[in-house]
Amino acid sequence: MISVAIAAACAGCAGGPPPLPTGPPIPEGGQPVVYAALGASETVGTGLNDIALRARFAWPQLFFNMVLPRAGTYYNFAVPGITTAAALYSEVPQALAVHPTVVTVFFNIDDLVNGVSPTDFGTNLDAIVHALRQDGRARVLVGNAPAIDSLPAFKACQGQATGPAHCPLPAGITIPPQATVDAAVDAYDAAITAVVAREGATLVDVRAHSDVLTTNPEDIAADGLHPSPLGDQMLAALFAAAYTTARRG
Amino acid sequence: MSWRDGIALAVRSVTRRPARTVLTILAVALGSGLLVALVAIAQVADTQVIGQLGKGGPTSAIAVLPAAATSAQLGTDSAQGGEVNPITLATVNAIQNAPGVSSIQTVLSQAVFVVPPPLGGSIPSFTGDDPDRRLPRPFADNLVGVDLKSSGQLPITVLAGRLPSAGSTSEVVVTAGYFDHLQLDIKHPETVLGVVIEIGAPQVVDAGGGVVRGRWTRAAITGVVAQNAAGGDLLGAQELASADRAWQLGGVDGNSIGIPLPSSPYASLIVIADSLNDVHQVRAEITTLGFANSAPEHLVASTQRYLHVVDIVLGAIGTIALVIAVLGIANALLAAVRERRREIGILKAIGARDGDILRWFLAEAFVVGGIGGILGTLFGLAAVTITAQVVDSYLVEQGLSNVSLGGVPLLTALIGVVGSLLLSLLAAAWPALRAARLPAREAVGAL
Repeated sequence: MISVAIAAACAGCAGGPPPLPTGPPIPEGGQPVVYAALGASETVGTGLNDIALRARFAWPQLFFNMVLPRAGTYYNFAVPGITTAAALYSEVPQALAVHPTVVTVFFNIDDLVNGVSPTDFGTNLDAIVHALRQDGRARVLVGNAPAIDSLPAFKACQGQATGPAHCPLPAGITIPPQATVDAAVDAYDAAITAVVAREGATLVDVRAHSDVLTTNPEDIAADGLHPSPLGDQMLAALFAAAYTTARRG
Repeated sequence: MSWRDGIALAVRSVTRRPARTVLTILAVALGSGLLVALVAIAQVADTQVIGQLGKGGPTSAIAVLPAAATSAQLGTDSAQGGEVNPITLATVNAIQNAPGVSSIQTVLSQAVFVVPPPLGGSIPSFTGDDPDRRLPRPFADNLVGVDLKSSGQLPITVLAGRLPSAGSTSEVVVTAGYFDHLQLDIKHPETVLGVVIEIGAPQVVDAGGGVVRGRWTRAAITGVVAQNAAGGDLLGAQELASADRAWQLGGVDGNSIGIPLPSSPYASLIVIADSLNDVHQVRAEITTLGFANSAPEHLVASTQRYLHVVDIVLGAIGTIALVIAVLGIANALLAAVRERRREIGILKAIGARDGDILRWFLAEAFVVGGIGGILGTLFGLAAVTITAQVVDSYLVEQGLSNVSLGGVPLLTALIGVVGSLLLSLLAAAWPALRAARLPAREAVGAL
């Protein structure tokens, strides 16, 4: 009996200190997805005031946090002002070096501003998407071009500035008539649709939401051209929805 | 009369005077309990104090820094470093081969940008042009990467939760600095446990143009630690810090924009000496190799001397208490001898020898001392456990590491029981001898 008492007492001593405070159970991090974002200024997060805002609100950042597993890694290779021709030789090799499994591609305005023809744009975009698909190893989402005629920056180029927005066109270049711009955007979107179909990518139909993205003041940054945090949230939601649908499909 | 008969007779004898027996047992129990409690508390205090000097890691750990050692290095515990002296793989190998070195932990430190929650779809809806106004600001910090398979060798104390799983790139722990960044109270570590943060490692593409790209990962906070293995508020697996570092090294030096390339492959090394006695020799080797280093070498030595004095004092107090208690046994047995003169005489008259009488009284002391010793030891261990829990609660409240008893102090418990028995037998020797030598004629003289 005495030995039992000793054992019981010693068992109490062996318990040691009380347990440390613990948090909720932490689930596994999931699949180690590698996500690469390619694009121009919208993808960088231009339009957000500082690096802290970009780190939280740039739409690829939001997309990464919305739909990709915690163990995923995200790289943003976007360069402000870049065209598809330049991206093919700068952003694409860098993206391929990290072996991405999910890629978002969002080029349009800068090619448009630089007068790249829809045919050349389509050819360049095809080469970009084809390379990034890596024979089907990566899921590539391609955003099309929104209608831009309602953007304050566009209106500034037409001499109809209503706020702090200024015309992004280089000095000496005049903006074509609105009908011409609309036709060019249509042609770009047709090229994007064709590339997506040809390369087995996923189309993110930004164009379908132009009425909100390019007209609602709260969705547009102060420069009148880039998305505001709310606009970034909307873009991210569009890419996230397309990604989720494509995964299910 | 055998020992068995002696014990049976002793048990009958102690039950004849229950009040006196209980009081004697209580005295022995209190004495042995005090001895056990004091010795156990001294042991725990020794371990904890020395452990605190090692900041949660082994006390034979030496931190090696990427700085050139000065001539004053060996005379002090703290690092005495001069200009940058990169720690390379060759440095690691050289130290590994030095005599007295048990193992080496390499430590990476990587500059990162931390985005606290909310993230992605968890960001609350807002209106207006300042969505940042109610959200915690992202901040620049350092991610320290270590080999978590050998986390016991690191000078890290877990205050809440747990360390990240070995090799996990989606788990980190944070220090008090993280709480400061977010203006949170470290007294409530549960507020950050399980929270997912985003960590961005920079790659400077064009320092002049300020073009910086991020390698972004997310990590769940699994715990809170009292200190880090190097400067930084995040601690994670070396795999995570290593990948982030490789990403940064793929770019150019951004010193002009506050993002310099790391100057040393390793932020520091944690070198574990074979024992405390080897620490000085290993530090001398490291200093000879030209690296600043730190270890609580002199502090541990002087603290150990003070603790030894405390051990002696506490042990002496407990022993004195036990001696006083067993003197009670001697007193009780002397009284018993006086009371049992007739019994002694009769036993001797019917053939009992002096040895039989001696066994009888020694057995009685054995029973009383044994029961008292066991009860006292249990009491002492219980007192230590309760004390440790009270101290624990206080330390955790203060954001400090808690107290560990380090398992059952079996040796102390054994000393408590055996010491009580031996001292009881020693105390009983004189009364028992006196009873044994009592002539039968004198013993029955009263008849």
